[in-house]
Amino acid sequence: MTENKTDKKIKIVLVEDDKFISLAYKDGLTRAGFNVIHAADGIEGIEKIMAEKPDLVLLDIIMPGKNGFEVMEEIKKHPETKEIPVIFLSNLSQDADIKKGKKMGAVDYWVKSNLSLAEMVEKINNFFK
Amino acid sequence: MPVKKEKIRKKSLPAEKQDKLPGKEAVNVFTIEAFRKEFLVIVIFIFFLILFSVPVIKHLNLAVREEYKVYALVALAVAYFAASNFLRAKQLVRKNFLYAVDVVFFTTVFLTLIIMTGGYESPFRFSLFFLFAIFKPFHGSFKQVVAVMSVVFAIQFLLGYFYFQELSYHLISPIVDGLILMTTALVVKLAIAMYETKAHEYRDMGKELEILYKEAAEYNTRLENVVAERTSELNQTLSSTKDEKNKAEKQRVATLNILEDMADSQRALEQSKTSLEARQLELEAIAEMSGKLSGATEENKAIEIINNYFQKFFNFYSFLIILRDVESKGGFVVKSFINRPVGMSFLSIAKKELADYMLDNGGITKDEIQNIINTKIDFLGKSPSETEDSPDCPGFILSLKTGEKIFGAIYIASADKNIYQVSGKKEIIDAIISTASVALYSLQEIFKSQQSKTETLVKSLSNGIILLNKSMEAVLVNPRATELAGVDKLGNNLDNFLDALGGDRIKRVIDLAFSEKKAETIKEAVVKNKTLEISITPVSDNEGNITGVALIIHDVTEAKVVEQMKSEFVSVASHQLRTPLTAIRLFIEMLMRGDVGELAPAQKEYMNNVYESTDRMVRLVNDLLNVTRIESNRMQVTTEPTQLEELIENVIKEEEPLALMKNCRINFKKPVKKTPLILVDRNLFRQVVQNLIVNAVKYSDPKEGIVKATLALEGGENYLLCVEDNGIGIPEKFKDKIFQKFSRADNAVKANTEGTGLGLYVSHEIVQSFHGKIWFESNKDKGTKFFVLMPATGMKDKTGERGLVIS
Repeated sequence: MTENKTDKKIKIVLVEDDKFISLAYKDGLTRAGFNVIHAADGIEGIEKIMAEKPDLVLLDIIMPGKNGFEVMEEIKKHPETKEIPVIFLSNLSQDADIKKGKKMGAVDYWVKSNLSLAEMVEKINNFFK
Repeated sequence: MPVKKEKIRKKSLPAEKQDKLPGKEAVNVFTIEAFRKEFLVIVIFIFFLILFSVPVIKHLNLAVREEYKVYALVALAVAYFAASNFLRAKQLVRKNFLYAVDVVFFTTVFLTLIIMTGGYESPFRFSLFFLFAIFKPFHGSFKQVVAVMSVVFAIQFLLGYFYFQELSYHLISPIVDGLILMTTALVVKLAIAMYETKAHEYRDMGKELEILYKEAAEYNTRLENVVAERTSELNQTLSSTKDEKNKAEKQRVATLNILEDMADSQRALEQSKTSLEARQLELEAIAEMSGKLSGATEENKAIEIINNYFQKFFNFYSFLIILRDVESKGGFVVKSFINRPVGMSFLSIAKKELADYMLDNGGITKDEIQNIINTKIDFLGKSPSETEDSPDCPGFILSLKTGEKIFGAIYIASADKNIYQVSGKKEIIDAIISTASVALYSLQEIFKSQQSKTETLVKSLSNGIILLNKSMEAVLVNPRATELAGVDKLGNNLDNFLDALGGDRIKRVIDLAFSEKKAETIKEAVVKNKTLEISITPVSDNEGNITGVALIIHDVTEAKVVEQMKSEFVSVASHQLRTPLTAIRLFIEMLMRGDVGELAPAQKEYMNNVYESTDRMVRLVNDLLNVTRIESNRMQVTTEPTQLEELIENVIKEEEPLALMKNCRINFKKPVKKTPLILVDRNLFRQVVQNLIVNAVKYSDPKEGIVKATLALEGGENYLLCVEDNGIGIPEKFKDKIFQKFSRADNAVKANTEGTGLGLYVSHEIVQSFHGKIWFESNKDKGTKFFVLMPATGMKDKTGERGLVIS
């Protein structure tokens, strides 16, 4: 968990509208050594991703303004952002949603309610190994 | 000769043995018994020979010198044997005389031999002895053999001593010869003795049988004599009774004459009685018909009964009945029951006559006559003949009436023209017709009242109802049915209507209902923006014959909208529920991990409780969502080629941490041969396997849990998955409820507080959806086995809104 402290921190944009969930993720991930930038809805998400060019985007789906799928479309549209890996992080756990998300170019699709913080940190670290 | 024979036998047989075999001549038998006595003699002889030879045995010096001349002598000896045996067999010479000749002959031969060979030991002498030893025992006792041999040896010995002056050699060779000879003789004798003993036994048995046979023959003869005696006695008695019989015969003839006179007068009496009985039979038949008619619930059945009883009394071709049609106003029904072939044109004439009759007597109008003529005849018995036409059988018409009201008429076509004029017959016909009238009238009345009731009921139903008869005509259509189909009146548009409801599909189901008595429901038929559920059920009469098909149309448009709203609501609600639950979980996780300061042990324990409850809530939400999907029958099935054992292995691997926590081992026994890929919705099947494995782990023995999963191909048609645990088992009273929603056994609740009571329900519904089977066997405190049967053909794709929620 601490290995990233010495390196340049991994920059993550977390697009999540729920206040408490975003708080929890932000705290948890920051403590795990990531640089977490939070966006509270889809539109803000697009702005932050454009501005920050993060190493990873964690993207919720059901959000006011623009939903996750629309944000994803936007990211993939722009050449400067389309290479950024995106992981959907949602409580929609239907097969159809998961397939749709992956089809749009997400590197993964995680169901929030099935994932503990520790597991999430491990998965992100594994992804950057 | 016979005298001589007798004499010899008597000498050689003990007296008591002869008594034992009465009626048969005694036979000279050489038995084991006799052999034993001789054996003693020969042993003593051999003993002395050996004793005598001991001092000279060392001088033994065997050399062979060939002297072919001796052959002649040997041949002579053999010839002699043959002759001697022949004489013995034919019993031409006395036995003792032959022995004497033997002694003389052999002595001579030996002497010659010894002299010729220079007294040397030779194979010729040996063979001579051998021959002698073999043949001799056949006809002599050992005593005799020994005697003969002793003389031969003595001569040889003396000759050797005095003539050749060579004692040692001529002493030993007779001894050696003697030993060989005696031993051979002993063996041959023993063989003969054994054979003779056995043969003797059989001979005895044969004799006993013969005695028995003789006794039986004697008894038979006695019996025949007795029978012959009795027969002659009887014959005597018979001839004496013959005279008496003749007398009696004469008396009988006289009596018969008298009886005949009496019979004549009785016959007259009986005739009148028969006619009375016939009358009674007729009345009984009519009473019986009346009984049967009152039991008939259908017009056609009643008409058949009437026809049957008519036939009992009369010879007639057919009849035609006209009745007012209770089902349509101003309409009529014309029914015909044909017994013998009549033509169509004849029937038309009969119909016209009936119509005229009704005009004159039945109070119908002229317009209605045309209705009658237009009405098709309903043939109940045989169909009318195509070729044959109008047999010469004019009929007569009778009215069917109740009180004075004529409600129908019957035309009876009979070969017997004037039958209605014959007294006696007329009364019967009247009786039948009046009984028939009552029955038909009451049937019509019952039908009318029932129909009006049914009509009111059917009209007021909120479901559409269409009743089709066998010829695919709509017999009954309620207003709701036409409304749902979107037509004003069904009329002749049945085909269009059915097309609108679902075309070929619905027609196929209707055909199936007719042909196989199979009821089916078409769930979602969309007709003009409405979603209809159409149940198609065969309708049968009392005897189970299909008379029609009922279509019940239920408008489910609104229900479907509500269902969809419900499903969406649950989907949204559960998503909304999960969001705060996720936040709670995340914070608890961080608290417990000590991210914001270490917790005291009690605080940690409380936090753990909160965490577990939250976790359970998440699973409950997932399961609930799945239940909603399954129940609304809108679950999507997406199949992929899958290897079942691989899928099961993956599930087991995932549940290993849980198993470790519960002190449990999971074994998986795969089929020997790798199973082929089959089409399976992985998520669905996985859910089933996971539920079973997790349950088995949770409820297995807490100290040493063992879960055994087995996958096997059953009969080539199905895959059978068995998951077995060694846990607490399912209580008897709970076995029926195990697949129900929210059902958890008492002991399960005690053992594990985390279950939602939905897992097995969900599994059951999934298995059902792919036409598989799920069941279990359970022994309290020994464990439970769950079985899942999956068709080897796999699952079929199904479009639906949503797949399953995977936890």
